[in-house]
Amino acid sequence: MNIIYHAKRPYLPLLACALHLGLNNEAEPFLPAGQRRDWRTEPLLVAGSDSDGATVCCLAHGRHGGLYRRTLAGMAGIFSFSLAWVDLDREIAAHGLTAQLRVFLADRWPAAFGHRLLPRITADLRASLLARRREDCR
Amino acid sequence: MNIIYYCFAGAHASVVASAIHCGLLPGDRVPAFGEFVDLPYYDRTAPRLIGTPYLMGQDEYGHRVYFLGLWDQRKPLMAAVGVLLATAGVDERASLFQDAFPLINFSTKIGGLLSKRYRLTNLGRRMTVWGMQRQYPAFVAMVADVKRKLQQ
Repeated sequence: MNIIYHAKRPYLPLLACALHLGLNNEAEPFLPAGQRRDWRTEPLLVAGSDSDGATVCCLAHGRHGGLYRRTLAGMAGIFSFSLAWVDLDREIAAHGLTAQLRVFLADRWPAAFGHRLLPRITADLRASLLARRREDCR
Repeated sequence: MNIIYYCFAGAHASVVASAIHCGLLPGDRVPAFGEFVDLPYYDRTAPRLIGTPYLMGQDEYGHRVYFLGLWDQRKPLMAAVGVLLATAGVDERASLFQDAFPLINFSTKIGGLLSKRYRLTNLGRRMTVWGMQRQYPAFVAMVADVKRKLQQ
Protein backbone atom coordinates (compact mmCIF):
# COMPACT_ATOMS: atom_id res chain seq x y z
CA MET A 1 0.00 0.00 0.00
CA ASN A 2 1.26 3.47 -0.92
CA ILE A 3 -0.33 6.47 0.76
CA ILE A 4 0.13 9.73 -1.13
CA TYR A 5 -0.49 13.02 0.65
CA HIS A 6 -0.85 15.62 -2.05
CA ALA A 7 -1.51 19.31 -2.48
CA LYS A 8 -0.57 22.10 -4.82
CA ARG A 9 2.45 23.02 -2.72
CA PRO A 10 4.72 20.77 -0.66
CA TYR A 11 4.15 22.43 2.72
CA LEU A 12 1.00 20.56 3.81
CA PRO A 13 1.95 17.12 2.42
CA LEU A 14 5.30 17.25 4.19
CA LEU A 15 3.57 18.12 7.41
CA ALA A 16 0.99 15.36 6.95
CA CYS A 17 3.74 12.81 6.23
CA ALA A 18 5.56 13.88 9.39
CA LEU A 19 2.36 13.49 11.41
CA HIS A 20 1.53 10.15 9.81
CA LEU A 21 4.99 8.80 10.62
CA GLY A 22 4.72 10.00 14.19
CA LEU A 23 7.39 12.67 13.93
CA ASN A 24 7.12 16.00 15.65
CA ASN A 25 5.82 19.06 13.89
CA GLU A 26 8.68 19.40 11.48
CA ALA A 27 7.72 20.52 8.04
CA GLU A 28 10.72 19.15 6.18
CA PRO A 29 12.14 16.22 8.17
CA PHE A 30 12.87 14.03 5.14
CA LEU A 31 15.22 16.37 3.34
CA PRO A 32 18.94 16.67 4.10
CA ALA A 33 19.59 19.77 6.19
CA GLY A 34 20.37 22.88 4.22
CA GLN A 35 19.31 21.39 0.89
CA ARG A 36 16.54 22.81 -1.21
CA ARG A 37 14.48 20.47 -3.28
CA ASP A 38 13.16 21.52 -6.67
CA TRP A 39 9.59 20.26 -6.44
CA ARG A 40 8.90 21.25 -10.04
CA THR A 41 11.30 18.59 -11.34
CA GLU A 42 10.93 16.05 -8.50
CA PRO A 43 7.34 16.33 -7.30
CA LEU A 44 7.11 12.98 -5.47
CA LEU A 45 9.06 12.28 -2.30
CA VAL A 46 9.01 9.02 -0.33
CA ALA A 47 8.84 10.03 3.32
CA GLY A 48 9.07 6.60 4.89
CA SER A 49 7.09 3.56 6.01
CA ASP A 50 4.53 3.61 8.79
CA SER A 51 3.92 0.99 11.48
CA ASP A 52 1.49 -0.89 9.22
CA GLY A 53 4.13 -1.22 6.51
CA ALA A 54 2.51 1.30 4.18
CA THR A 55 4.80 3.62 2.24
CA VAL A 56 4.04 7.26 2.93
CA CYS A 57 4.68 9.70 0.08
CA CYS A 58 4.44 13.43 -0.41
CA LEU A 59 3.34 14.88 -3.75
CA ALA A 60 3.37 18.55 -4.72
CA HIS A 61 1.65 18.77 -8.07
CA GLY A 62 1.09 22.48 -8.59
CA ARG A 63 -2.02 23.16 -10.65
CA HIS A 64 -1.91 19.74 -12.35
CA GLY A 65 -3.49 17.68 -9.57
CA GLY A 66 -5.92 15.80 -11.80
CA LEU A 67 -3.22 14.95 -14.33
CA TYR A 68 -0.87 13.55 -11.68
CA ARG A 69 -3.65 11.61 -10.05
CA ARG A 70 -4.85 10.03 -13.31
CA THR A 71 -1.32 9.10 -14.38
CA LEU A 72 -0.17 7.62 -11.07
CA ALA A 73 -3.49 5.81 -10.56
CA GLY A 74 -3.15 4.48 -14.11
CA MET A 75 0.33 3.16 -13.32
CA ALA A 76 -1.02 1.51 -10.16
CA GLY A 77 -3.68 -0.19 -12.32
CA ILE A 78 -1.18 -1.36 -14.95
CA PHE A 79 1.39 -2.67 -12.47
CA SER A 80 -1.18 -3.92 -9.92
CA PHE A 81 -0.35 -2.14 -6.70
CA SER A 82 -2.61 -0.11 -4.47
CA LEU A 83 -2.59 3.63 -3.88
CA ALA A 84 -4.48 5.70 -1.32
CA TRP A 85 -4.86 9.41 -1.93
CA VAL A 86 -5.28 12.16 0.63
CA ASP A 87 -6.02 15.52 -0.97
CA LEU A 88 -4.86 18.01 1.62
CA ASP A 89 -6.07 21.08 -0.23
CA ARG A 90 -9.58 19.64 -0.10
CA GLU A 91 -9.11 18.33 3.42
CA ILE A 92 -8.13 21.76 4.65
CA ALA A 93 -10.86 23.52 2.67
CA ALA A 94 -13.50 21.01 3.79
CA HIS A 95 -12.71 21.62 7.44
CA GLY A 96 -12.75 25.36 7.00
CA LEU A 97 -9.44 25.47 8.75
CA THR A 98 -7.77 28.41 7.12
CA ALA A 99 -7.89 30.75 4.21
CA GLN A 100 -5.86 29.59 1.24
CA LEU A 101 -3.99 32.87 1.46
CA ARG A 102 -2.52 31.92 4.81
CA VAL A 103 -1.31 28.58 3.45
CA PHE A 104 0.14 30.40 0.45
CA LEU A 105 1.98 32.89 2.64
CA ALA A 106 3.33 30.18 4.92
CA ASP A 107 4.49 28.18 1.95
CA ARG A 108 6.19 31.09 0.23
CA TRP A 109 7.77 32.65 3.31
CA PRO A 110 7.85 29.94 5.99
CA ALA A 111 10.22 31.89 8.23
CA ALA A 112 7.82 34.84 8.41
CA PHE A 113 4.42 33.16 8.27
CA GLY A 114 5.03 29.45 8.88
CA HIS A 115 5.06 29.57 12.67
CA ARG A 116 1.65 31.25 12.75
CA LEU A 117 0.10 28.64 10.53
CA LEU A 118 1.92 25.56 11.74
CA PRO A 119 0.33 24.95 15.18
CA ARG A 120 -3.18 25.38 13.90
CA ILE A 121 -2.68 23.34 10.76
CA THR A 122 -0.88 20.67 12.72
CA ALA A 123 -3.65 20.29 15.26
CA ASP A 124 -6.36 20.26 12.62
CA LEU A 125 -4.50 17.92 10.33
CA ARG A 126 -3.82 15.54 13.19
CA ALA A 127 -7.52 15.47 14.05
CA SER A 128 -8.43 14.98 10.41
CA LEU A 129 -5.90 12.17 9.92
CA LEU A 130 -6.95 10.45 13.12
CA ALA A 131 -10.56 10.56 11.99
CA ARG A 132 -9.56 9.10 8.65
CA ARG A 133 -7.56 6.37 10.36
CA ARG A 134 -10.51 5.49 12.60
CA GLU A 135 -12.71 5.25 9.51
CA ASP A 136 -10.16 2.95 7.86
CA CYS A 137 -10.13 0.70 10.95
CA ARG A 138 -13.90 0.18 10.88
CA MET B 1 6.06 -6.42 -20.20
CA ASN B 2 4.32 -3.07 -20.59
CA ILE B 3 5.42 -0.54 -23.20
CA ILE B 4 4.12 2.98 -22.70
CA TYR B 5 4.43 5.67 -25.37
CA TYR B 6 3.75 9.17 -24.12
CA CYS B 7 3.40 12.63 -25.64
CA PHE B 8 1.67 15.94 -24.90
CA ALA B 9 -2.04 15.19 -25.23
CA GLY B 10 -2.12 11.45 -25.89
CA ALA B 11 -3.96 12.11 -29.12
CA HIS B 12 -1.42 12.01 -31.98
CA ALA B 13 2.23 11.03 -31.48
CA SER B 14 1.76 8.37 -28.80
CA VAL B 15 -1.35 6.99 -30.52
CA VAL B 16 0.48 6.60 -33.84
CA ALA B 17 3.63 5.13 -32.23
CA SER B 18 1.65 2.58 -30.22
CA ALA B 19 -0.45 1.68 -33.29
CA ILE B 20 2.72 1.06 -35.34
CA HIS B 21 4.06 -1.06 -32.48
CA CYS B 22 0.89 -3.19 -32.40
CA GLY B 23 0.79 -3.54 -36.19
CA LEU B 24 -2.36 -1.46 -36.59
CA LEU B 25 -0.45 0.86 -38.93
CA PRO B 26 1.98 -0.42 -41.61
CA GLY B 27 5.74 -0.14 -41.18
CA ASP B 28 6.61 -0.27 -44.89
CA ARG B 29 4.57 2.62 -46.30
CA VAL B 30 2.99 5.92 -45.27
CA PRO B 31 -0.69 5.37 -44.36
CA ALA B 32 -3.51 7.34 -45.99
CA PHE B 33 -5.64 9.91 -44.19
CA GLY B 34 -8.42 7.39 -43.51
CA GLU B 35 -6.05 4.91 -41.87
CA PHE B 36 -4.95 7.53 -39.34
CA VAL B 37 -8.41 8.79 -38.43
CA ASP B 38 -9.76 5.24 -38.17
CA LEU B 39 -7.33 4.56 -35.32
CA PRO B 40 -9.03 4.43 -31.93
CA TYR B 41 -8.41 7.68 -30.03
CA TYR B 42 -6.53 9.44 -32.88
CA ASP B 43 -7.22 13.17 -32.30
CA ARG B 44 -10.04 12.18 -29.95
CA THR B 45 -8.59 12.16 -26.43
CA ALA B 46 -10.64 14.57 -24.32
CA PRO B 47 -8.52 17.12 -22.39
CA ARG B 48 -10.06 16.04 -19.08
CA LEU B 49 -8.81 12.48 -19.70
CA ILE B 50 -5.21 13.44 -20.42
CA GLY B 51 -3.01 11.49 -18.03
CA THR B 52 -5.00 8.26 -18.21
CA PRO B 53 -3.02 5.46 -19.87
CA TYR B 54 -4.97 3.64 -22.59
CA LEU B 55 -4.27 0.16 -23.87
CA MET B 56 -3.74 0.13 -27.65
CA GLY B 57 -3.18 -3.62 -27.90
CA GLN B 58 -0.50 -6.28 -27.83
CA ASP B 59 2.53 -6.72 -30.05
CA GLU B 60 3.74 -9.94 -31.65
CA TYR B 61 5.62 -10.92 -28.45
CA GLY B 62 2.59 -10.45 -26.19
CA HIS B 63 3.80 -7.16 -24.69
CA ARG B 64 0.99 -4.81 -23.77
CA VAL B 65 1.28 -1.43 -25.49
CA TYR B 66 -0.21 1.73 -23.95
CA PHE B 67 -0.32 5.39 -24.92
CA LEU B 68 -0.49 8.32 -22.56
CA GLY B 69 -0.65 12.12 -22.60
CA LEU B 70 1.31 14.03 -19.97
CA TRP B 71 0.63 17.63 -20.95
CA ASP B 72 3.71 19.82 -20.33
CA GLN B 73 4.61 17.72 -17.27
CA ARG B 74 6.46 14.94 -19.06
CA LYS B 75 9.74 15.22 -17.15
CA PRO B 76 8.38 15.71 -13.60
CA LEU B 77 5.64 13.13 -14.09
CA MET B 78 8.09 10.57 -15.44
CA ALA B 79 10.30 11.26 -12.42
CA ALA B 80 7.29 10.73 -10.12
CA VAL B 81 6.32 7.53 -11.94
CA GLY B 82 9.89 6.24 -11.60
CA VAL B 83 9.89 6.89 -7.84
CA LEU B 84 6.47 5.31 -7.42
CA LEU B 85 7.31 2.17 -9.39
CA ALA B 86 10.57 1.74 -7.48
CA THR B 87 8.71 2.18 -4.18
CA ALA B 88 6.06 -0.35 -5.21
CA GLY B 89 8.78 -2.86 -6.03
CA VAL B 90 8.03 -3.02 -9.75
CA ASP B 91 10.92 -4.55 -11.68
CA GLU B 92 12.56 -1.98 -14.00
CA ARG B 93 12.56 -4.57 -16.77
CA ALA B 94 8.76 -4.89 -16.54
CA SER B 95 8.19 -1.59 -18.33
CA LEU B 96 9.55 0.63 -21.05
CA PHE B 97 8.59 4.28 -21.38
CA GLN B 98 9.19 6.09 -24.67
CA ASP B 99 8.67 9.81 -25.29
CA ALA B 100 7.10 10.25 -28.74
CA PHE B 101 6.56 14.00 -28.53
CA PRO B 102 9.93 15.13 -30.01
CA LEU B 103 8.88 13.60 -33.34
CA ILE B 104 5.83 15.84 -33.68
CA ASN B 105 6.26 18.60 -36.26
CA PHE B 106 4.81 22.11 -36.40
CA SER B 107 1.90 21.18 -38.64
CA THR B 108 0.68 18.46 -36.25
CA LYS B 109 1.01 20.81 -33.27
CA ILE B 110 -1.03 23.54 -34.98
CA GLY B 111 -3.55 20.97 -36.26
CA GLY B 112 -3.99 19.56 -32.76
CA LEU B 113 -4.50 23.05 -31.37
CA LEU B 114 -7.14 23.87 -34.02
CA SER B 115 -8.91 20.56 -33.56
CA LYS B 116 -8.96 20.39 -29.76
CA ARG B 117 -8.93 23.95 -28.52
CA TYR B 118 -10.73 25.83 -31.31
CA ARG B 119 -13.00 22.95 -32.33
CA LEU B 120 -12.04 23.25 -35.98
CA THR B 121 -11.94 19.47 -36.09
CA ASN B 122 -12.03 18.91 -39.84
CA LEU B 123 -9.25 21.36 -40.71
CA GLY B 124 -7.22 20.52 -37.60
CA ARG B 125 -7.41 16.79 -38.13
CA ARG B 126 -6.29 17.13 -41.75
CA MET B 127 -3.31 19.21 -40.64
CA THR B 128 -2.33 16.68 -37.98
CA VAL B 129 -2.46 13.83 -40.51
CA TRP B 130 -0.49 15.86 -43.09
CA GLY B 131 2.21 16.44 -40.47
CA MET B 132 2.14 12.82 -39.34
CA GLN B 133 2.57 11.58 -42.90
CA ARG B 134 5.72 13.72 -43.26
CA GLN B 135 7.14 12.41 -40.00
CA TYR B 136 5.95 8.82 -40.42
CA PRO B 137 9.37 7.26 -41.27
CA ALA B 138 10.77 8.75 -38.05
CA PHE B 139 7.94 7.12 -36.05
CA VAL B 140 8.61 3.75 -37.72
CA ALA B 141 12.33 4.10 -36.90
CA MET B 142 11.55 4.96 -33.27
CA VAL B 143 9.29 1.93 -32.87
CA ALA B 144 11.92 -0.30 -34.49
CA ASP B 145 14.43 1.06 -31.99
CA VAL B 146 12.07 0.27 -29.10
CA LYS B 147 11.60 -3.28 -30.41
CA ARG B 148 15.38 -3.68 -30.66
CA LYS B 149 15.68 -2.59 -27.01
CA LEU B 150 13.04 -5.17 -26.03
CA GLN B 151 15.00 -7.98 -27.67
CA GLN B 152 18.24 -7.11 -25.83
